[in-house]
Amino acid sequence: MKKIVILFLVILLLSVGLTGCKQKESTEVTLTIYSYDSFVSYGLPNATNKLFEEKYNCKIEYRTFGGVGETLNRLILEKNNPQADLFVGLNMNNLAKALDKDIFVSYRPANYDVIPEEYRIDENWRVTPFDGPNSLAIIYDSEVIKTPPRSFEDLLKPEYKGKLILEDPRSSSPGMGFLLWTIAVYGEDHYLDYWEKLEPTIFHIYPNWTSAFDTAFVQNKEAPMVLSYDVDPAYFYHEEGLTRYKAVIPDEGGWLQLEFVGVVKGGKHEELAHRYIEFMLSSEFQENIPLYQWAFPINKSVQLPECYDYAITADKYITLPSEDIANKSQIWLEKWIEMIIGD
Amino acid sequence: MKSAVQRKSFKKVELNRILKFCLPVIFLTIFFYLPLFNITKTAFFTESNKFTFDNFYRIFTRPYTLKVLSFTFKQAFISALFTLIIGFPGAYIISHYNFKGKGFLISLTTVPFVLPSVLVALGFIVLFGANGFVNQILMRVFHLSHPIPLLYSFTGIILVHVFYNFPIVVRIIGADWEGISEEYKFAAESMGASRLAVFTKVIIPLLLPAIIASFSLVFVFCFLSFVIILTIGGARFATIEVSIYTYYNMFSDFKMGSALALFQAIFSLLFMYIYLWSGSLIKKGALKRGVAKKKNIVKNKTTLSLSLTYLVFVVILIIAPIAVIFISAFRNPLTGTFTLSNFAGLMSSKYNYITGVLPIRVIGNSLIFAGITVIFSLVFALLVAYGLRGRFFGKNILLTLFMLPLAISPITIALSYIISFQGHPALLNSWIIIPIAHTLIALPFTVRALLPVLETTSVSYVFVAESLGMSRLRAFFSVDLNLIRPALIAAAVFSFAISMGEFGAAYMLYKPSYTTMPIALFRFLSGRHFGIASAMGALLALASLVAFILIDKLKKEVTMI
Repeated sequence: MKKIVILFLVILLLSVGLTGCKQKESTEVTLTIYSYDSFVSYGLPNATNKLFEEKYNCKIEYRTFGGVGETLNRLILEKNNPQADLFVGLNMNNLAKALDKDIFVSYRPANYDVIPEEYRIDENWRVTPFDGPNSLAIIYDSEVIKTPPRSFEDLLKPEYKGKLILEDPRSSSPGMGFLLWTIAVYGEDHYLDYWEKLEPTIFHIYPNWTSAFDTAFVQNKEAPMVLSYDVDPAYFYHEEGLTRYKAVIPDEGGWLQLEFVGVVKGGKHEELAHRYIEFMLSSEFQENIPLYQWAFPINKSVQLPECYDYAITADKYITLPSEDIANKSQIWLEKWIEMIIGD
Repeated sequence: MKSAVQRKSFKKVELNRILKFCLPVIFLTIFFYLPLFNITKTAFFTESNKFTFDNFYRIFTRPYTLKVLSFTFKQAFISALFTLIIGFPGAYIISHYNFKGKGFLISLTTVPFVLPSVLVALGFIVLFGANGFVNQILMRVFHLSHPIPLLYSFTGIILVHVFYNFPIVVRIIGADWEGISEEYKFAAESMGASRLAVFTKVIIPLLLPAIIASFSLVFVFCFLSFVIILTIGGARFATIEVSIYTYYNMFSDFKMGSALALFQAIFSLLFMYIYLWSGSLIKKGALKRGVAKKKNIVKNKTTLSLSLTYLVFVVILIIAPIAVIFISAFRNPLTGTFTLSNFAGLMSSKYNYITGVLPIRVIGNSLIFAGITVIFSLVFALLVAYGLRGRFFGKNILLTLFMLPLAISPITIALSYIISFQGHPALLNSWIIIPIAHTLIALPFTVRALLPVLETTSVSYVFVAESLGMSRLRAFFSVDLNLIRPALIAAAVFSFAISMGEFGAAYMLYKPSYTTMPIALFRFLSGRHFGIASAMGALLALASLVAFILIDKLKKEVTMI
């Protein structure tokens, strides 16, 4: 008995000790950047941080809270007490929501001219695009799926029953993108009818892209189709020499994806945050995007690696008016939840 | 002499009582009753302070919330029903037979009280998930090309809930059954009743309070289920608790969240009340029935093999999900070979973006929060228990007020803090808010553990000690502390285990730099980083194991809930 009490006390003391030896407060400035899980795990920050840290004698710390949606919600909730300096990874699906919540300050980077004009989406420069355009795509295992679905209607065929892995629009950005995509194709009055017919095709809806793509699709091969991006075949070829995984964009048109960075309102290091955005547009950052972020660089002068021959690009892009996304996506989402949730 | 001392100190006793209540009452007012009041206000009043029933109207008219309500009740009911069915034979066996390892089996019934639910979720995913042990074996044996989806379904949720809670049934019903004399049975049989009739007409009615008690307790636990629904259920399932979180996190909608929280509180209160009421019936029944009967060594062969099968099943069900966490912690998730790299991962900054600080410091965070929770809740519980000692007017009302946090869910508590302390960012953004929430959650348990012991230790010991010239404080340390030590340790262990394992409230209130172990586990789990999740899970399991062993040592003194 006594021994156990002593053990208990030792654990308590240990805990005090552990917390006592707090990390030394460095005099270095730390730039805190909020992003999403796979942005960090795919290694772009790791490949580029040093260049910036050495140049500006500072430290970069990335923080994530799950997918883009989860991290954005976190940022919105922290509005009165911002912890981050920058937000990296916002996209078309949640752009309107973020702008509506007024969490970014305007800044037009000095080197903004590398961005093609048609992608300078926000005229007030609250957000700056740094990669794209990409499209969502269905990635399929060509050894299991011999004839891939060519359109949204094709996905409803019985041969694809239980074969599609999706992401949850509440917490995942591609998931939200797919929901909006169906609305762009079928209209807001009929998208739920489509989803009702799509339900048998769905294997499982995962909370975020990492769990759906990395684990369920790649590692565990739970089902042979997954909602992901147009450049993923390039990834499979480059990383594993595999050509069995192919991408298909439905004939209705690709869903336009651009990724943005924004300076957080009330952040502690605004100046440094500005420099970081310019750094992101510079070629030393941009040339790392294809292999570390698996997206097209926004700076079109950057040469693409060879494996990108396997990537596909959409013939045309479709999207929804961003004010519609801003005003209606909560209703669309709620209706979707009402339909999809188990009873 | 004795009476003189008592009379003289009567007024002093009452004054002392009030003084003792001071600190806990202030704490509960600031960190429970005022926040709860704010939740009520948010649910019933508009920004312009006008009364409205709108939020509740929305709950009962929207298809989404209606689905959430029906799902919450349905899964809790089915979970509790199956838990009862699975636990019943166990209750029979431990109450009727003596066998080797019985003590161990009874000890195992403590597991749900000390094992964090996020750890249970991890265990089940490692065991039954698409890439889990069971599926790997099935795929190899039957040459399947794809894993069988065992989790991520309604059945998966029920499975985990049953595993997690059936020891409660074994414990509560088993203890009561032990007290039912065989004479009832013989009397009924001698009057010609069949064995089935004896069971349905004699045993079941006698056990009814215990059945109701265990059913309602399991029902409350499943009703408030959060992390298991998130991890095992997936996108298609949401309990009220999950949906309060969604309304807050997705839509920043405090009103619907508050209304749902109130609705949820009413029902968990109701079932908690049923539990306590049936608990008191059990006590009364036990008093009437008197001494426990002798137990048999199993002779009948069929009974023996049936019991053995059940026991093996039970032990596997409880131990396997935890055991696989340890196996998976030392296993390379890709190659399946032995490795220490998962533990090395705890020291590397590779996952800092998820945990905010080095994973090893996450463990430090959890331990320090648990340590503070232990100190806070012990001090408050001691004061409350001392204050409540003896008979006085309004005692039951006071006790209820101190026990009420039991019926309020962690997500509700966190939401109420966010609503109440928005104007005090220094408090809301400080790490101290987490141990405060944990103290509140732990307090009913610590009070429950301490009160019975303090009620039975006679006040006169202390008076004698004092009259012999000891100061009140010295009397406390030398006399009282000796008498209540086991209960005190039990209370400490409970609050430690609660704080170490608590997920919901911490998840809503944390900042990256003070991530706790369950939060890190959940994040690793949703990112499918099973290796490092298992390594951290194994450490959390060890902490639970220490708690388990300690409580086991004090088995007799412990009032669980």
